[in-house]
Amino acid sequence: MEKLRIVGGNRLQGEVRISGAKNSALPILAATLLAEGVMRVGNLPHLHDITTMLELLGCMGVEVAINEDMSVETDCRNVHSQVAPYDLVRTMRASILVLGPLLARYGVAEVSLPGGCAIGSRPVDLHLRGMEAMGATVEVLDGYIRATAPEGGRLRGAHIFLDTPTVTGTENILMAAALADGRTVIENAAREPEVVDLANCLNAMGAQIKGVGSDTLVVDGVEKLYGCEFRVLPDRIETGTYLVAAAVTGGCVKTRDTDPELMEAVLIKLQEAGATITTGPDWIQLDMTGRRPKAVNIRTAPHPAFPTDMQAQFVVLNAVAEGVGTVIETIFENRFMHAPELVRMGAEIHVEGNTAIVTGKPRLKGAPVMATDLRASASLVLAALVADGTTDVNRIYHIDRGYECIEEKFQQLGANIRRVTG
Amino acid sequence: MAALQSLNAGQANLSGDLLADTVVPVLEAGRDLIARSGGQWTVNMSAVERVSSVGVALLLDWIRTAEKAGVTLRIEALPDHLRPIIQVSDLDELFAAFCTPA
Repeated sequence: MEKLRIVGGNRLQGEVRISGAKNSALPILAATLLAEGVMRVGNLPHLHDITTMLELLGCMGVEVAINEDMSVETDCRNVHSQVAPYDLVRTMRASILVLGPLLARYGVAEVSLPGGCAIGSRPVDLHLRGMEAMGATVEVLDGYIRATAPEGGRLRGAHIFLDTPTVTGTENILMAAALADGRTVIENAAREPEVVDLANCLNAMGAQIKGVGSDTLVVDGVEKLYGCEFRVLPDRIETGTYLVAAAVTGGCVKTRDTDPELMEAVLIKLQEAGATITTGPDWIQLDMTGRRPKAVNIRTAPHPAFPTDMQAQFVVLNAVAEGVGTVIETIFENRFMHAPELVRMGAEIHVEGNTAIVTGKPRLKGAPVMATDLRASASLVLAALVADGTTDVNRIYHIDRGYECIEEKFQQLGANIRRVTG
Repeated sequence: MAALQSLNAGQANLSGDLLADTVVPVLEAGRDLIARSGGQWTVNMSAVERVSSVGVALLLDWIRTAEKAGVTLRIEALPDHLRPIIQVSDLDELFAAFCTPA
C-alpha cells in the first residue's frame, strides 16, 4: 500500500502548472458520444477516472486515440453497445454521465447503478426524473438503469425543475436535451464552471444552449451534433489547494495555466487571511511573505459561493492561523471526516453538526494519518507541510483520484514529500 | 505515412507517422516479418515522427504476435514522445521488458 511521507517545515516557493479539471473532463468525454465525426479534447488530467471513462467509451465501440500532446480523439462511427457495465461503473460514479448522451443519440441506454447507490436517496434520482420528463421510459432492473426513448427514438423537450442544483444531474439532462425534439428548460440548474464548460463544448458541437452560467438553461434541441476541438478548463480546486499550501507555509506560489475568474470566492477568503494575491489572464500568485494566516469564517454553498471541495483545505488554514475560524458545511453531511485526523496532528477543532470551530495554533505535529476521501486527504497533506516532524498519509488512492502528480508538484515547490510503499 | 523497412530476417526500421490512418499497412508487414524472423526480431524506431496511442496499439500487436510465434522481440530507440502515452496507459512495465535502453 502506497503512502505519502512528508517532512513539514519548508516554506513553499515557485511555480506549479495546474491540470485540466477532472469534473469538466468527464462530462465532456461523455458528450463525445453525441458527436458525428471526430472530436478532439485537450487539457485532460492524467487521472485514473479519465482512463476509466476512455475504457468505458472504448467498450461501447468508440474509437479512442491519445495524441502525443495527450489530447484525446474519439470517433463514434462504430458504436455497437449502449451498456455501461457494473465493473467500470463501480469504480467511477461519474459513469452515470453516459446515460443522457446514449439515450439522446441512440434511443436506449443501460447503465449500471454505482455500488451503494439507492434510488431515492441520492441525486441519481434527479437524472432519471429528467429523462422521464423528456419522454423516456426508465426502469431499474438487476442493478441496471434501463432507459428507452419514446417511439421514434428521440427525446422530447420538456420543462424540468431540479429539486437541488445537482451538477451531474444538470449535465446529464443538458446532454440529453441537446439532441431532443423541441425546447427544454432546466430550472434551478447548477451554475458551476464545469457545467458552463460542458455547455460551451456542446455549443461548439452545434448545440443551441442559452443562459449558460445562470440557473435557467434553455436548450433548443438540434438533429445532429458534430465533432470539434475543445480544451477543458483548469482545475479550480487543484489551484486553490496549492494556493492554500502556500498560505499555510508562509510561502509564495504562482499557479500557471489556471483561471482567476473561476476562483473568486476562494481568492477573497485568502486575501481576508492576509495573503497578497496577484493575477494575470491565466495565473494566480499568492504571497504570504512568511507570515501566519489570519483565521477566516467559511460557509460552503453552490457556485458562485465558496466551494465545498475547498472546505477541508480551509479547515487546515484555520488550524494554523491566528485566531478562531468557523467553517459551516451546507452541501454534504459528514464532510468533516478530516477533523479527527487533524486533531491527531495537534489541531484544535470542535465539530458540532455541520459546523467546525477551529482555533489556530502556530504549528502542528507530524503523525501517521489516514485519508478518508479526496479533499480530506488533500487537507492532511497541507497539514503535514506545516507540521513539525514526519507525517505518513495513508490510503492515498483517494488523493490520486483528484490530484495529478501531487508529490512531484509539491517537490517542485520545495516540499519534502515522497511516495513510499508499505 | 508510416513505413517498415526490413534490413535482414531479424531486423527492421520503422519510420514515419504512427496514426490511425497510417499504421494498417505496417501492422501487417510487421506480423509477416515476425513470422519469418526465425526466433528473434528487432524493430528500430529512431525514424518515427508523429505518434498517438495507435502507435502503442501497433507495438502491443507485434508483442502479442511475437509471443504467439515464440519470437523474441526487441524495440530499439522508442521515441520519447511515445513514452507519456505508454505511461498514461499503465504499460510502462510491460514496455520496459521489450525496450533496449537508450
